[in-house]
Amino acid sequence: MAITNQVPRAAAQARPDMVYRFSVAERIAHWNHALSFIVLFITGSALVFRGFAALLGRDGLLAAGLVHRVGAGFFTVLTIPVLVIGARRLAGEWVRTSFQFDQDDRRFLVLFARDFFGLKVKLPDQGRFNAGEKINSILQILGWPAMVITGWMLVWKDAFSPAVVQWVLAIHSFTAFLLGAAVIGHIYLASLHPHARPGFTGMTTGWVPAWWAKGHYRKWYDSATGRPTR
Amino acid sequence: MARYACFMDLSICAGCESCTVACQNKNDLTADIAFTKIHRYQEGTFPNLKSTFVPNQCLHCDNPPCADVCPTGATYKTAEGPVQVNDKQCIGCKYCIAACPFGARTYDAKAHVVKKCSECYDRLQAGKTPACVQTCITGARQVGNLDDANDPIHKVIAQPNTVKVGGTNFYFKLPEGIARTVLPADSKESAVTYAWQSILQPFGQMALGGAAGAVLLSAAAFVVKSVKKEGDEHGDH
Amino acid sequence: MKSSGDSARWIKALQKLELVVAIDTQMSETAMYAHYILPESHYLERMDVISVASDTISIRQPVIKPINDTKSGYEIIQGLAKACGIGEYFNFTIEEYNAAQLGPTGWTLPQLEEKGLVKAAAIPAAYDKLPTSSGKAELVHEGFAKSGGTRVFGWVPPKTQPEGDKLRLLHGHIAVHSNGYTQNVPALYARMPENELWLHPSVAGPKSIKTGDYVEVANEYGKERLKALVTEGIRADCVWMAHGFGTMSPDQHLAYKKGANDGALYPILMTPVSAALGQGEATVTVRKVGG
Repeated sequence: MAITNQVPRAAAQARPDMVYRFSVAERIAHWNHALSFIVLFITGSALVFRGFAALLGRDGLLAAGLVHRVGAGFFTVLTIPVLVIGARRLAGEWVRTSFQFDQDDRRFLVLFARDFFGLKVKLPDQGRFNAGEKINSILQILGWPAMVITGWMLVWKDAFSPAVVQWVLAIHSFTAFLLGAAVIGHIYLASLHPHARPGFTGMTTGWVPAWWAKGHYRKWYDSATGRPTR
Repeated sequence: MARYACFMDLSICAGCESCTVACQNKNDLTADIAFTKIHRYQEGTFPNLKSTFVPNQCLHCDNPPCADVCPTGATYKTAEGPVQVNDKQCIGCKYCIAACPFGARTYDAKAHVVKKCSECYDRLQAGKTPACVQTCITGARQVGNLDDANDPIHKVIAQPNTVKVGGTNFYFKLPEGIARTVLPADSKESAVTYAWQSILQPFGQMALGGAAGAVLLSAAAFVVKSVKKEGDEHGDH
Repeated sequence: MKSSGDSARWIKALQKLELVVAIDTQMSETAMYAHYILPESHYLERMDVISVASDTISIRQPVIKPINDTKSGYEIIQGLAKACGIGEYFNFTIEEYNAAQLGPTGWTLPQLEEKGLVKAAAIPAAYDKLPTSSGKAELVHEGFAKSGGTRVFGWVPPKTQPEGDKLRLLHGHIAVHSNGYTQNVPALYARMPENELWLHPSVAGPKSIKTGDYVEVANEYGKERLKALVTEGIRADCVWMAHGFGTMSPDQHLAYKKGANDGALYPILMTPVSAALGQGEATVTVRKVGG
């Protein structure tokens, strides 16, 4: 399987009701990041919540520690090279646009809460990623290096002074809380939320229903399909 | 019940390190691990010198930060004072080493456990003195029960030049002309402990709990909506 | 050999002897040069003669059975005496000897063994009836002159004085080790594996010697290598090291060649009259030999 961000033209012609949203590299990077994070979050929680620690017991915690380190390896090493090799332009675009919020984005953030709880609302048109996803992206883009640096410092904590280790530990745990909160929301939206979950296939096959893309990412849909909808 | 206090008279400590070795024997430690260490402190210029021996060990804090950060509860404070480590619960994460204000904890790589002075809690409970106290050749080390009005420890800690390390039940008698500064600083909550316990942890848990709560609420809203929709036989899109 | 000065000369002397028999608890340097070694039990394995200091009587008694095939010092002497045909003078056990010693104090051996230490009513010394010709303590004595001194004790200048690069060598004892006998005990070796040469910053500075650097200490008697400790705790014209280190016996696996032997740098010197060991009568030069 070639890693490409090119829309398979023949496939696009064969599936007029679908839009190609995520390249293979983006999907691999996403799932590596997502699955390793979930593993890290669960195993890491064992050291933050005492009830969980007691449940696992000493052997369980030692095993969790081992899994945490293996997960950290995937979390640290794989995501960025995959993006750089396989989706350099798209990833660069993603990082750049994640920090740009236009008028529509700001309005989206205000109105999104209504949509989230199933209330009727007309959301403003969005680009390839909506403003909520941008917030999640910012957390991941900034949180990833924070977790990676502090995490590996904790693996080799003997090399640092006790005061540094204490701060590093606090930052690592706090950032994990924030990322965990973002991830809970993200997983719910992507897999359960009735308005958002039709897009789930974007991260499996790469394709999303055209009607859904049009409804959720109108600006991107227009430029990606070359079919301006208005 | 007993409430133990420790005392060490630095003005008569000979620096023989018998306490270190007795402790190692009592706790079956290898020679590279010591729960109590004796350092020589010296200041001034010849011939105006001041010198003393200073111990480095667990001072059994009233509010031990090592116990606060222990994820498994392996380290805990007893009602009588001695801070204990349950080896069977310790996972060797070393958070306690970072949190200890006295540098008094040692990682035992072979056992993958962090160890420290137990104040010989087992011996105290059996009515004996800790190994270091029993072996001390000059009688510099003493231990006593503060709750027992007749315990000689009250007289011992009332001697002149005797200081208590704040936040602990450890008393030191300083040699003449030696300042309090040679001793470990008082045990108090560090900035990072405060930041973590009072700001970062509650805020982080709030964020996590908030996200989980919002998700549940949203899911409930959609369930209610779909039940209503089935009843009404028509939806909104 | 480490305690009597000029270790190199002692080694040569021992090598010249036809028969050297050593009684020791470990492979000391002297035992190393002996033709025969009579291994003595460690102090925790043997019964010693009771010890009296002022009004205090104490006993050193075995707490374990000998681990190896060793005997107590008294048993060795007893055996040698028997072999030499004078066994009748040692026809008693150490316990019987101690019991006899203890007799007049009113304490019994089992009592002393149980307590470890007892107090006895001391008999005040009769200072007015001393066994001297005058019956008094004598500060002036013909005997001193006959023994090679003067009738009155006088001060004799040391053989050598610090000057320029030559620094007075001093040594002393530390509380962690007992003389030269515990350096190879693992627990104590871990506390203090080697000695250091204390020297004043004003001496160390020009030679760019820092604490932890290796220095060579040398004079006409020997040459030793050890780590430096730059400290204000020493006079500028003196250097100091703890005694008992620089073990030359390879069988002391831990302590072997760790630190320096001050005994290698002193002359063999006996004070006149009292025949006490003369120490502190050496100067040395110090140079940096490694970081």
